[in-house]
Order: sequence, then structure tokens, then C-alpha cells
Amino acid sequence: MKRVYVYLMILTAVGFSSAYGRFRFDALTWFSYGAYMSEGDTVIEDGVFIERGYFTFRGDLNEKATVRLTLDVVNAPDLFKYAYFDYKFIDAFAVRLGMTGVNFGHLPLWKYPIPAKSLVDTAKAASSADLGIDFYGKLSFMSYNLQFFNGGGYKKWASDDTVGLTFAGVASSIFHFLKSDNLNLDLGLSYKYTYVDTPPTHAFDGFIEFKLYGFGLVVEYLGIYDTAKDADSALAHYINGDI
Amino acid sequence: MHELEGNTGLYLGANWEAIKGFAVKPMFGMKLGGEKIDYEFKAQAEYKIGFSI
Repeated sequence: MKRVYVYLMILTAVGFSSAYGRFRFDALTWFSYGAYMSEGDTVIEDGVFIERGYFTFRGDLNEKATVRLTLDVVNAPDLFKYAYFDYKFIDAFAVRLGMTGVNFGHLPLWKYPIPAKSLVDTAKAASSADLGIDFYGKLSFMSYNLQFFNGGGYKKWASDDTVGLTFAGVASSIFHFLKSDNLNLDLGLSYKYTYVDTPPTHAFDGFIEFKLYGFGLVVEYLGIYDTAKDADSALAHYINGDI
Repeated sequence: MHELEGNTGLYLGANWEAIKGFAVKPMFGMKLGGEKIDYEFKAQAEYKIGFSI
């Protein structure tokens, strides 16, 4: 029932915006070839596949209110990647309600400049989207997010047996030390509390991103702290160049 | 559950937008920290379109 209710809410919002506001559509598809090897072995796995396919509808209800619906057609029947209503009071304070992005670690800034998964995605430290509410804002030197989620991720968000039993809270900030057309230096700090399975977990992520013209370097640290065992941690470096 | 201990990765890649909306992205990655070093090669073609009404 919850799934039907949310579907109706989303379709009504998108229909309203398309009738009375500006309506935008875009599509994004990735075709990939990948080969995976271990030291001393030949290729152990390779193949050509369609990795992702997104259809996005955006509607502006007025200057402050927007709706967005993004369908993940590769992962159907879990179609909804993003489905939210967004209201911007001022640049420094806005609210987003619905299936929205999880701003934990470097994932929300990642934008996939190279075909690698981000560290948070690889370690399954956070889903890229979840059902909940997001308070966020942007100042000249930083941006912030304070988020409260169902905790099931966007592929399990509507499952009735998780309602009321799961929760995830995320607090994150990105500080812009250098910000110009060709030079950027950002520091990101994120904390996430998850109560999906017992025991609860805490996760911390810190990253530095440096961009100079078309070249970028990201160094990211991720630690997951489980109350029942010692802390796990991971570190990744990403270097990419735009041609 | 997490299997992250000693998990370090290094990824090198390029992003070439051949024509507007169509990009080619080759990448090489190394994952260190396990019993063996894992290598990954990946090439991706990205296609984007968009319009407003």
C-alpha cells in the first residue's frame, strides 16, 4: 500500500509540474567493457554490458519548488532511483522530501568521471539513494546536508518488513578552500549512523579533491565502526584527466 | 560484513568527450591488501541526451 501511495504522489507531482511549469527530460546510458584479473592469473572475468540507464524528468513548479523523477531502467522492477519534492527557502537552507540522494562521502560529488565505483559504493557503506528527508544548504565556502532515511536503500525502500525497524542518519559538510573556473580544492567530512541490522554501525568518511583544469585527484578514507567488532577501514586514490 | 581491512585501491582513468553527449572513458585500477593484487581494466561509452518543453 505504501508503494502505491508513493507512486501516486510522485506521478501527481510530475503531472502537475509538466502541466503548469517548465518540464525537462534527459537520458543517460552507459555501455561498458570490463576485464578483471588477479596477480599471476589470466583474465578471470570479462564482458560487455549495459551498466546503467537512467531516464530523468524534472519539473519546476515555481522559482523555489521543483520535483524530480529518475527511473533506473537497468535495475527494474526497482525503478525509482530518485523521486522527490524540493523546496529552496534560501540558498543556505532547503528541504528535499522523498527518494533522494544520500550525501555520504565522495559519492554525491563523484559524477563518474572514470568508470570505477566510488569507495562508498564499493564498500557498500551507504546506498546512493534512500527514502527520507534532507535538509541542506550552500554557503560561499561550504555546503552541508543533514539527512534522515528509512535505511533500506533505493532497492528495498518499500518493503513492509523494514518499515519502522530501520533508520539511517547522515551529516556531511564539504568545505571549498579554493574555488575558481580551473582550480578547486575541496575537503569533505561525513558521518553516518545506521540501524538496519543489529548491532548499529557508525561510518566516517573524509576526502580531499583537487582539480586543476581538466585533471583531478581524489584521496578518500572510509572507516566503518561496528559495535560488535574492531573497526574496518579502506583507502582509495582516484586520478583522472578530461581530454 | 564489510571486509575492508587493508583494502587500498588506486584508479587511473581518462574521460574523452568525442562529440557532445558522447564520451569514452578508459580506466585502469589496482586493488591492494588481499593475498593477491587484483587488476581491473574497464572502458565505458557514455551517452547523454536532454531537452526541455
